[in-house]
Amino acid sequence: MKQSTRERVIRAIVAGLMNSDLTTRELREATDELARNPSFSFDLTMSLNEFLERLSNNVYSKRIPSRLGGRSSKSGPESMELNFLHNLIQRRRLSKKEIFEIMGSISPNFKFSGPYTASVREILEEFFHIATRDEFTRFMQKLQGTSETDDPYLRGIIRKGL
Amino acid sequence: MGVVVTIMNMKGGVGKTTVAVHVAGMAARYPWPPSNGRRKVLLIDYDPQFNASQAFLDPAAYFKLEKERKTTLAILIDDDAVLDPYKLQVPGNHTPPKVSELATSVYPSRRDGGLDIIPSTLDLMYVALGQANVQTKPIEERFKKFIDECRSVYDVIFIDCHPAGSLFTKTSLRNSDHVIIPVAPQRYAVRGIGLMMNFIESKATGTKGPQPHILFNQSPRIGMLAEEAEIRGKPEYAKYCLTNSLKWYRAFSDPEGGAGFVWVSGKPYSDQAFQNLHAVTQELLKKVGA
Repeated sequence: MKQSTRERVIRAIVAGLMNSDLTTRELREATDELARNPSFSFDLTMSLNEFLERLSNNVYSKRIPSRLGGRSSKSGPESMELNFLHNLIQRRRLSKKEIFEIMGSISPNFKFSGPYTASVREILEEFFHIATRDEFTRFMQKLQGTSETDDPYLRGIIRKGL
Repeated sequence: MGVVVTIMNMKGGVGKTTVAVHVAGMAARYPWPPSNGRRKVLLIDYDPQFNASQAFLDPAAYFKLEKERKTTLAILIDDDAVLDPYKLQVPGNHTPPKVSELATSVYPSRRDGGLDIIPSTLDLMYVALGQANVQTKPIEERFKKFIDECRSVYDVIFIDCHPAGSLFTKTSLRNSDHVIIPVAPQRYAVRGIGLMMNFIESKATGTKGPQPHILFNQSPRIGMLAEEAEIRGKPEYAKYCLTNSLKWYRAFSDPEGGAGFVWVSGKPYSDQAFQNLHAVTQELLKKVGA
C-alpha cells in the first residue's frame, strides 16, 4: 500500500471513530484491543471484507417485484448492513415519515405494504428486498449525508485525507 | 484582566458545546450589568471534533483557517511539526503565536463587545493520542503563555474543552478561573458531578483550582426532573448550582456556519428561548465576575 494511501486510510478510520457515538472509554478499550489482541484485528478485517463483498456483489442489483416468503422475510438483507443503517437512522433521529420521504425520493414506486406501526427495521427490510444496488447506495449516502451537496464539512474532512 | 471559563463535563451528550457557543455569543452581543456594556469575548474551541467552530464558521472559511494553521493546534505545537498519531512532537519553541495571529472575528466589536473564535481541528487528536510517555511541559507552558496574553485582550475567555481526561482538560483547568459543568437530565448525572468535582480538584495547582458552576441543561420548560432535584438537594453540590437552568428549546439546537442561533431564530418558542438564555448568561457573567 502506498504511504499516502495508508495515511488517508488511517485518517478516515480515526475520523469515523471520533465522529461515532462511541464513548471515550470505549474508544480507549478498542485501542487497547487493537494493540494487544490479534483476534480483534482479524474480526475487524473480516467484517470490513464481508461488508465490501456485499456492496460489490449483485445481491442488491436485481429488483424483485414481489417479496419472497411474505413481509419481513428472514431471508432479507444481512443483519450487519441492517444494523448499520438502523444505527444511522437512530443517530439522525429520523421519523418514519422522513424515512419514507427519503425512500420515495430514491425509489418513487416504492410503497410499503405493512402498517404504519411497523418497526423501522421491518420498513428497511422491505425496502432493501426490492431496492437495486444503486438505490441502496443512494439511500445510504442520504442517511450519512455524504452526497456531495449534503455536507460540505464532511466533504472537507474527507478531502483533508486526500 | 480577563476571566477564563472552561466549559466541561466528562459525560458526553450534555450540551457542552451548545452552552459554550450560546453563552459566548450572548455575552458578546448584548449589554450586561454592572457596566451595561457588551463583553469582549474569545471562544477557544479546544475539542478535536470542532463542533463549536462549525457552529460559527461556514465550511469555506473554516477550512481556509485550518489550512493557514490558525487553530488551537498552533497554540500547542510549532507550525512545522509533523503530525504523527504515534509520536507527539514536543515543540522546541516555548513561545506560542500571538492571539491576534490566531483569533478570527465572528461578531465585530461595535464600540464594545465582539466575539472572536480560535477554531479547533481534527488534527488536535494527534496531541491527544500521542501524549503518553512524552514530556508535555513545553506544551503546557505555551498554553499558559497564550492564555495570559488573552487575559490582557479580552473581558472573558470561554474554552469549549474536550470531554475526556487528557492534556486538553489538564491545561484548560489549570489556566481557568471558573469551570461551567453542564448537566443534562440523564442517568448517572449525579455520579458524573461527583467525578467532575474530584477531577477538578485533582487538576488544581496549589490550593486554588477553578471555581465550579453547575448549569442544568436541556431542562423541561415547566417543573424539575428528578436528577436535577437530587443534585440541588445535596448540600455539597447545591452551593455550585446556578439558579437558572437552560431549558429544552429547539431554538438552541444545531446552529451552523453562523446561522440558526436563537438571537435570530424563527423557530417555535424562540422568544422564550432567548429570554431563558439571557437569564442564564446574566447569572453566569455575574458569578464569574465578567
